[in-house]
Amino acid sequence: MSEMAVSLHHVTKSYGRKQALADVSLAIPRGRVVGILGPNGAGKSTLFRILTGLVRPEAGEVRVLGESPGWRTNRQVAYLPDRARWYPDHTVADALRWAETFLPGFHLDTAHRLAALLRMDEHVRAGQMSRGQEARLMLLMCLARRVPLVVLDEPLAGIDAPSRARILEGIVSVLSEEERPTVLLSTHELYEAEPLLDYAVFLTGGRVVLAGDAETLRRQHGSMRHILETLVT
Amino acid sequence: MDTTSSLALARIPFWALVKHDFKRRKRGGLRAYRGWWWVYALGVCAALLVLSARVGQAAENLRFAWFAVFGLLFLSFGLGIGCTANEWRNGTVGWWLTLPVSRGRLVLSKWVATLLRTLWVYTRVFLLMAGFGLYSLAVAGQLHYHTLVAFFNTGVGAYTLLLALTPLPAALGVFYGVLMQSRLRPAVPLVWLAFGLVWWQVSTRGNHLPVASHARVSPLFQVWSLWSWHQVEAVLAMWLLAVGLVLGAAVVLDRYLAL
Amino acid sequence: MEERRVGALTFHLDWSQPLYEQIMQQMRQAIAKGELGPGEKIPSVREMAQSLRVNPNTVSHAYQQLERDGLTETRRGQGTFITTSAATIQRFRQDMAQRLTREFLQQMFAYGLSWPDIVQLLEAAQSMADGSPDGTQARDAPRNDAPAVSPSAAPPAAAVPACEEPSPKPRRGGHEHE
Repeated sequence: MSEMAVSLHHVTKSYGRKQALADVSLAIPRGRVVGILGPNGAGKSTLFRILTGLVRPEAGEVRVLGESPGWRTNRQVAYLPDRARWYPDHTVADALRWAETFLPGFHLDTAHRLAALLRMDEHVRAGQMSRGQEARLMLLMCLARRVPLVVLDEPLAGIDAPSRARILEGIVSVLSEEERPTVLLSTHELYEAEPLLDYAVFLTGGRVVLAGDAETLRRQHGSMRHILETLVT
Repeated sequence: MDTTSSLALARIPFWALVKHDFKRRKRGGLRAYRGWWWVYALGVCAALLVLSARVGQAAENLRFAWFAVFGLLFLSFGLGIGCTANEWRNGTVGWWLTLPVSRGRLVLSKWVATLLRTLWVYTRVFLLMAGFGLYSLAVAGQLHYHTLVAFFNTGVGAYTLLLALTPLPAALGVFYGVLMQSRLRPAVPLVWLAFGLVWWQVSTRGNHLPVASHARVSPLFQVWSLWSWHQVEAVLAMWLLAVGLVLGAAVVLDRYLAL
Repeated sequence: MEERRVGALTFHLDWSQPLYEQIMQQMRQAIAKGELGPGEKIPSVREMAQSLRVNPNTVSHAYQQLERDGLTETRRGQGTFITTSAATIQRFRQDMAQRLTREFLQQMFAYGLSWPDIVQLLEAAQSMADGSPDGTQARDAPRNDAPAVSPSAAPPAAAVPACEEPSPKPRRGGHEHE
């Protein structure tokens, strides 16, 4: 088994003339909670889409859990797509049943525990849920899977503060499991999310400008939010 | 690690996927518009009543009403588009495309689901047409064995052809729905052009296809014997084309997605 | 500063400093002050991480340090407890106090303050602390009074930046100071 959860070697991806990722090389060790941080359009979502096989890079080599990313590796990757919605006709119970069939490693006991922690209303259909509730449901779909890699693209975007706190608690609770997964997470709500991180990768303009152990970065540069602000301006 | 190796082998049953795709789901309630459904249902009933009163006068020609069902080919095309495009419209495309299932199986499931949905509509339309025919014949006082045979033979003939043709527009719909979301979108007019050509070919040969030309002489439900090898070949070619389109949709999903 | 509660404990966390050190120090302080008594069970890493919404690795790192200090002990299957030995806690407290005093004096001498200056500052700080309802305010006292005292000290103005130096160590000293 590869020691790195994710590694990229000189990866380039562009959309027309815009370079979304420019010669990115990166190695993320297993078992960490990694913040993929950067302003809008820095290439965070593109990176996640490459890791889940949605997008193919033009150049470079990508390894997810030691393999080339694609539908086969997705068995072992729990991915929360950006701006995703849930199937509007599903209640929480429907969604759990769906997940048991379609998401390998989905663990029903964990799901029920998380549903209680996230205070899910079991009987509402996703189409009728508030955005915060729907976001919590989608997060549950990812966190209740016992898989080695969890990729969360903006899990806190557009969600009210109480839901954000619950979502973060949900993430922490999964990290306390014995076989803790590697978590990649992008977010603009850094103030709330940053104490969760123990590794951070800063992207701007499709390039990695800084990466490293979060506590070391804190000691050297201050908070993640501060680092991001300095990098952007 | 044990769990990891079992994870790596996890399989999703194909029919579970089809079942999931079969379900019609749209964001935002059609609930608010449910009243309109009744308006249209009443309108259709009224139209049928008027029609049956007029057509019934000439029960001989009633069987030609079956030709209207060929319009359902467009419905199949539309269902194919809807089945795929809804993933984007509902914002669920990220979930769909990161399922641990090959692209080929993903679109194959969409195609099968579209066919099943189309069949479900066909069945209801068939029952509606049958009811309409029986009612019209009864009203005209023409409810005899030979008129019934003529009517249903035409119907079964039309449906046989309809079923033979359906895989193509269904596949085209799936392909088109995917194409619209890809970087190949500029090729859409080309698809229309190709589709126009195929349609033209099919409709000009329609005269040679076994719809009801001899329906009256043949005994009930014996329409299959009317198919010539030539026609069977044409249908097989269309099915092959349909499979090709489904595979094409998988390639588009794999390589040309605009994300 | 973010205030987060875990049971009876309150943590003040600053995202711009390593989190493990803050958690460790504030736990040490709670133990030294007796907020966590000998033999008392402390929250599991999981509970602590979840309530603080902090990475469990960070919490367990802090817990490991506490165990190395001898302040906590882990009993198999039961959880983590504050040491039952009051003597250990007392010794830890004394070591800490001595170290902080040494650092404090080193800093003061480094800025050229004499022993009488320091005593005078401490007395002023004490009277401030007695006057204020909250004893913890005492750490601000020297800063406010500094310009007024010790005209005799060699560079009097230097006393001000000395106390305002934003290093975490003098601040922690302020907490320890009673």
